[in-house]
Formats: sequence, structure tokens, C-alpha cells
Amino acid sequence: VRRARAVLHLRSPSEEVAMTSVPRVLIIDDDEDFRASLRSILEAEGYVVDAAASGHEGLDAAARNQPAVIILDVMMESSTEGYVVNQRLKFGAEPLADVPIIMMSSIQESPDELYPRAEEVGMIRPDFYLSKPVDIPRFLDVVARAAARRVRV
Amino acid sequence: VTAGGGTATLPAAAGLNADAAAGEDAGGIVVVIDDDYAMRLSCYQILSRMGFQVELFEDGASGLEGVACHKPCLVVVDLKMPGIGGLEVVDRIHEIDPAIITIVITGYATIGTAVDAMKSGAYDFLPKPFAPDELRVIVHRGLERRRLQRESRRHQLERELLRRRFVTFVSHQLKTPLVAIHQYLDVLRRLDDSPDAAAHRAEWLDRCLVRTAEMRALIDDWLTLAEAEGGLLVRRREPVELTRLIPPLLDTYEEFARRVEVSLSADMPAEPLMVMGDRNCLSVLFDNLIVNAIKYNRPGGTVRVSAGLSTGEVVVAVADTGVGIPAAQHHLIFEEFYRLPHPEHGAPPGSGLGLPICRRIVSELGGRIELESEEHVGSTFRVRLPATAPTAAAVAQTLEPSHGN
Repeated sequence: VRRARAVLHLRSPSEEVAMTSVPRVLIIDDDEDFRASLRSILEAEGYVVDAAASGHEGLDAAARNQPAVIILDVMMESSTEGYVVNQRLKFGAEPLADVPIIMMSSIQESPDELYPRAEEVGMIRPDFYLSKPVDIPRFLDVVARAAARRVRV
Repeated sequence: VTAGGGTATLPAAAGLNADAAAGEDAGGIVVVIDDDYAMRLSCYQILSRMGFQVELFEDGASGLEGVACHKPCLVVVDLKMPGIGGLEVVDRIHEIDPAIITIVITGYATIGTAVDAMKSGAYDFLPKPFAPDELRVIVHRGLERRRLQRESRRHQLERELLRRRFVTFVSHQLKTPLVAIHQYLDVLRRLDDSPDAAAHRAEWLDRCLVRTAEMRALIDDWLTLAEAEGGLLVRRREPVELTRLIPPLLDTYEEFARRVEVSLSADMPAEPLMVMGDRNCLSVLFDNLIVNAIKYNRPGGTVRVSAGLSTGEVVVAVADTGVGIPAAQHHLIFEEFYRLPHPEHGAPPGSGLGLPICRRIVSELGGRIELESEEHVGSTFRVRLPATAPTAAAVAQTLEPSHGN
């Protein structure tokens, strides 16, 4: 398990864009502070990070930036906005539909509990699910696994 | 059977209001199950004249089929029938739909059984022979019971919805800042000693403090309402002079307003505006209105608080040039836990209880709060409170510097 480097040194995203083959991660979360801390964790690991504050912004940013991994909050403007965004992306156009999505929520309910009959009603389960706040090493591990899966696809 | 017909209006039977008793069931379906032809006929005449659609059946088996397919609001059933007896019919009807009102008809000899039928859920019984008015009264009472049951079920559902809204809201509103603070702390302890890190440390610690303060305010609001549950928010009645209470409140928000580029102004009359109230509650009231006016504003916008006297009432208006409130949401914003989203940045931090608390304080003080709002233009909240004549003592009191309470 990788650990966050001791230095949470932040490079500006513009410097990072110049570097090629750095996995790009999109964070969709309506909490400004949570976005800021996740960004610092990911940037310290060398990821290029984009952030969006709502489902709508997130869908736009995903189309624009073609991230390798998407981190998606469940409860934003509505209590299930994250699931709606997940659905839209997975049913959407090709390259984005394959992007692994890590769903997150601070309500301790797994998607199984929220949607016991998810398949029956046509819900798509998230590729990964983490509860907030994240355990940093585990979080980085999941992001790395998600990014690797994308490469394989 | 072709008896009856016509929709004669109900005679004022036993002083019952026909409309109130029938309600949603007016013109509904009533099933009559009786093996006696004459009895079916007279029930038909009475009930159809009351405006019901009446379906007749001569035995329990066909009657139950009729109940299943017609979904009546009420069933009149004879207790003594060959085949399936009335008692069993009542049981089976309630299996089909417990909300159906059942009335059993019985000879005097079977009143003991009628009581058994009531124990198993029949609404009432009617001994044979009975007068048309007796049946009418009992049907009306039965349907009134049905209406009340439906209403209480509705209230139960509303309460359940409110409770769930509360649980979701509280867990989200409390957990979100906690998660943000926790995540910052975890990152902070991994920072090194570089100057870059120092800058972030300062910024993130500040954010932790801000989020903690927000949570504290949130919890204070909830406790305020929880404490007042069933009781009163306004604990004291003292003369309060509003032209001296409001401007200092406004001043405390100067800094916050400047940050979001909103300018504040107060327009207070020269003469004192005296109301009887609780200084704390009045501060909370105007505080909430001023904060909302700033939060739901836009850069370059203004918040203007004006006050005056109008026909025995002190009127305080808090007007903003903010995002406004869509007409469809005017009644919702005074509801507990309702959050109006800011069109540009979602719902700003808040407990969802600010306006419910305001409404409560104002009504306890015998006043009212009015809203005038246009989307994209702004909102004006106008508080009207009964004015009190300023006594010399009260004026003197308000002129003295206040030392808390």
C-alpha cells in the first residue's frame, strides 16, 4: 500500500498538464473543503486533479477533461445526485462510459443498502465505493487500482 | 331491482351535516348483502336516495366477490344468512380492505352475535326492523369514522416524512462539515515543514475553524427549537427599542458583507420604535433576516434595513437585491429544514431553521412576517409587531448601555 508522500506539496495543475501520461482525476463534490483536501492528497501523489462542485459541472468537466478516474459524491444538491451522475456517465458515450467511478458518501449506507433492488430498477452499481472521510492510504490504493483498470480497458 | 331512483336530498337527519359526513365518499359505492329481498329493496331505496351507488347481493359468497370487485366505502351485511354467515363475511371484508366500514343488520335474537361482529371489526349494528333515518345516521357516522381514519393515516405519513427529512438533513448537515474537518486534520498531520506547507497549514486550520463555527451555530439553532418544542421561545416581555437594537446588529455583519461585496444600510426614524418583546429573541429574529439577505445576495448587491410606525404597528423591512425566491417556494421557506438553493452556488451553509425560528418568534410576539420577492430581483421580509407606547422609564432604559441580560 502506497502512502501519501510526507510532503503534501502542491504543484499547479498547469505545470502538470505539460507532463504526459499522468493520470487525470476528476473530483465531483459540493463541499469546497473536502475537494481541497482530496486534491492535495492526489496532487501529492502526482495526479492531475480537476474539481467540480455539482453534478452538472461534473458532467461538463468529465466531457472536457476526459479523466482516467472520477471521484463522485452521492449527496449533493439532491440526496442521490451522485447516483444520477453515475447513471448518466455509464449510459453515456463510449470513452467516458468506461471511466472507473469511485462513489463516496458520509452517510454510512452502501449502495446495496440504498438500492436493495438496484438491478431490477436498472440502477448501475458504482465501480468502487468509499465512505467519507477517507483513510488516505486506502483511498490512494483504490484510486491507483481504478486508474490501472482504465489502462487495461 | 329498479326501485328507488332520483337523488333526493337528505333530510337533515339527526342534525348531521350530509356533506361533512360523506366527504370523499359522497356518491361512492355501498354494497348490501342480505338474503331477504324486502330488506335489500329498502336498503337500496334509502341508500340510493343518499346519493350512493348501491350494489345488492343475496348471499355471503357473491357479496364478497362484489366487495372485491366494487371496492365499496361501506358494506351493510345481514348477520343471519344461509351459507357464509355475516360474521365471517365481516372478517373476510376486512381482509380485502380494512378501511371498508361494515354495518351488520340483525334481529333482536342475534344481538349477542352482533356484539361479536363488532368485536371483530364491524363498525356498528342495526337491529331489525329499523327506520330509514336510523340507517342514514349510522351510515353517516360510519363514513365519518372512515374519513377520520384516512385523515389520521395521512397525518401519520406526513409525520413519518418529516422525521425522515429530519434524519437525512441532520446527518448530512452535521456529517458534511465533520468529514471536511477530519480530512483536513488527516492531511495536516502529514504536512512537512516547507514554506508551501506552512501556507496550507494556516489556510486549512482557518477553514477547520470556520466549519466548526458553522456546526456550532447549526446545533444552537436546533437546540433553540428543540427547547421550545411545546413551549415558548419568547421568555421575557420587556420594552425593546428597535432603532437602537438593529443598527449594532447590522454592524456585526459589515466584515462578512464586505467579503461577499454586499453593502449594508440602515434607515431608522428619529423617534423611538418600542415593542414588547425579548431582547434576545428580537436579536435572533433580525440577525437571521440580515444574514439571509447577505447570503442570498450577489456581488455588488445591497441589504437595506428600514423601520417605521404604521397604524399601531412597528414595521421593520429587510430588503435585499439578491437572487429572490420563486413564488412556488414562498410557503416552503418557513418550513423546518427547507433550504433554498442559491442559483449560483447551491444552498449556503445554514441550519434550515432560521426562518422557522423567525416565524415562531414573530407569532409569539403577536406579530406577523410577510414576504415580497421577485426572482433575480430580490426579497423583502417585513416584520410587523404591535407597537408599545414608549414610557419615559423604558426610553431611559434603552439609552443605557446594555450589559447582556
